[in-house]
Amino acid sequence: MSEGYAVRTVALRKVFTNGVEVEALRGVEMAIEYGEFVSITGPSGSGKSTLLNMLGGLDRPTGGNVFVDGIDVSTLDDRDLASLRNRSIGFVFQFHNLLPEFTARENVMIPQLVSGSKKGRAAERATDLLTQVGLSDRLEHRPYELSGGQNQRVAIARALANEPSIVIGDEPTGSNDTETSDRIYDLFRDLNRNTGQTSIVVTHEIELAERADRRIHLVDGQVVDT
Amino acid sequence: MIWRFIGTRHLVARRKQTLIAVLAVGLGIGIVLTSVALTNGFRGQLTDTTKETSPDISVTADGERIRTYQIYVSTIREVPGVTAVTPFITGNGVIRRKDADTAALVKGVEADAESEIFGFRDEMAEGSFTSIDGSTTKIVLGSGVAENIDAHVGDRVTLTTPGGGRELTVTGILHTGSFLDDRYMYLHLDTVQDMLDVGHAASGIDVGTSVEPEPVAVQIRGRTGLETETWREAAQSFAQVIETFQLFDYVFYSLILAIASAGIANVMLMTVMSKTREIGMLKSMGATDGDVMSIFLFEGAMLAAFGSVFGNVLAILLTEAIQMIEITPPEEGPAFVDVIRLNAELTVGDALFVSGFTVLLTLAFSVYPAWKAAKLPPVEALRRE
Ligand SMILES: Nc1ncnc2c1ncn2[C@@H]1O[C@H](COP(=O)(O)OP(=O)(O)OP(=O)(O)O)[C@@H](O)[C@H]1O
Ligand SMILES: [Mg+2]
Repeated sequence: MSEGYAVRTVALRKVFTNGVEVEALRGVEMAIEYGEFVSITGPSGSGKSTLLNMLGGLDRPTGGNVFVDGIDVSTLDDRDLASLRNRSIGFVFQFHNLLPEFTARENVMIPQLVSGSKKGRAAERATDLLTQVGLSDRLEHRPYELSGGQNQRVAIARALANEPSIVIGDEPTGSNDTETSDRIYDLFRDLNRNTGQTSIVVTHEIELAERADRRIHLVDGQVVDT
Repeated sequence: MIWRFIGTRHLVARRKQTLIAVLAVGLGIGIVLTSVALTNGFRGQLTDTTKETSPDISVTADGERIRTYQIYVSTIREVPGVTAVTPFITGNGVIRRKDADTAALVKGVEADAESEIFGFRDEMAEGSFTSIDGSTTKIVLGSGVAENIDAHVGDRVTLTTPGGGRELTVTGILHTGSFLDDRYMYLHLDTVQDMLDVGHAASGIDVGTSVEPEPVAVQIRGRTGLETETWREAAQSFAQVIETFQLFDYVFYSLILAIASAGIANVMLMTVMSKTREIGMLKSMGATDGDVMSIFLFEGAMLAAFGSVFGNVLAILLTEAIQMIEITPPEEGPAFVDVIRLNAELTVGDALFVSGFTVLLTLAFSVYPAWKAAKLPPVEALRRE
């Protein structure tokens, strides 16, 4: 039963076998409802990034299943997986999210161009989104001309560009100071409330994690109660 | 068209590398095209020279002298398309004026016909060519031969042949601009037959035609049983020598172009390596393997295309420049030739072939880096900093 959930995993396992064998995920069971804002916490090396990569269709599980929007991701070929990432998922990573040769607006245009949108329409939507994240006066700036926090906000705008049903953030507050982290996190939160998108955010700041609808805690590749 | 958007930006952002790659390919194409143009020009010049210095059709008898040439001459005159016919006889001679002497070929001809076949009428530096007709004491000298003994029209000269010597008067100096000037002296046919003591015989028959010589030659062979060689056949036997060398040229050209294209492949490989994280990012946004591959193939194609444009412009400029170079022959060289110009001929076909070949080669070389980029697993690409 995976209908009704935005994301669901069943006995999800991931084993890395390059050199030594590392079992990063050992039977993860979780279900996230549409519109939920979920934080994922856990010690370093507990498998948080690995889990997000599975949920976002960036990597394939060793065992078990991942359902996104009711679709078993492991049944998709590379092309359909790419299409899923393009249409249903928006990623925000910890650092270096943006393509350095492109302006803030162009970076937000790229997922739309990948999905075949016209340049003019993509640029309009990019301007809208950047305005929503408070960067209307930084449209033509390159990543190196923006602060760390501004870079992350551009990345969030870009993650929303194709109106994905799920937004995934792997420590999206980056290595910013507490105040900036707070603002980025709040932005995530507000967008989730306004658009009804499902949000899954990894953070190591407990205080931020507590503000989510629900907190999933990982230890040693397994979900534990908090 | 995400590939064009991103590919173009990569090229512009790394403009220094882009420029170097374009220059390398352009230089390769430019050099190859110029060499091809020079070969073309040389071949063209060779053909032109052969056409100018050969009769339309040369009729011979297997290297033997022709004894009954009068019959053949009248038979050949009957062949449609034939405008002029002269039997000729050649032999060696030494010509002397005062203390200077020089060796050259003596050619005995019927001057009217010979003049028409070779177009000598407009190529006389002094006197007239037909002045030798019917005369036993008159001689026309090639300008190079005349120069060697400082002879002019009206000068008395002595011609010595294996059959004996004779006092003659120079009545014409021929200047064609070709090797004929340095090699020939012309007298009336009967006079040379007499001097060489060969009786009534000819070395061959020169034939001029008003139409393409090949079908006429077939007719002549059929009616006389003699051998013929058209000017085009004469040119071809020279051209064959060039073609043998051209085989080596093609190997050499391919190497130059391969090196230039490999330069592009190297630039591409470096780009792919430095863009690993971005490739991961693009894939996280849903770019397919095909999208990523297209980006880098597009970059390779653009480098090759701009390289081709630059190479063709370079080749045009080089061939123009080469044709403007004037080589002044050494003092004691052939007279009357003021300057020698190199001939270079750039054809659209060659330009298209060489450019097309290079673009294909570059694309082939770009496939590997592009494929490497496309096949990067997104998670692995994203791990790189
Ligand atoms: N590509 C890989 N190859 C080998 N081992 C890997 C790979 N990716 C992750 N691992 C291992 O899997 C385990 C989980 O890694 P993961 O990156 O998911 O942890 P994390 O919870 O995100 O840690 P952090 O908070 O430091 O980011 C670790 O032991 C890590 O070394
Ligand atoms: Mg992590």
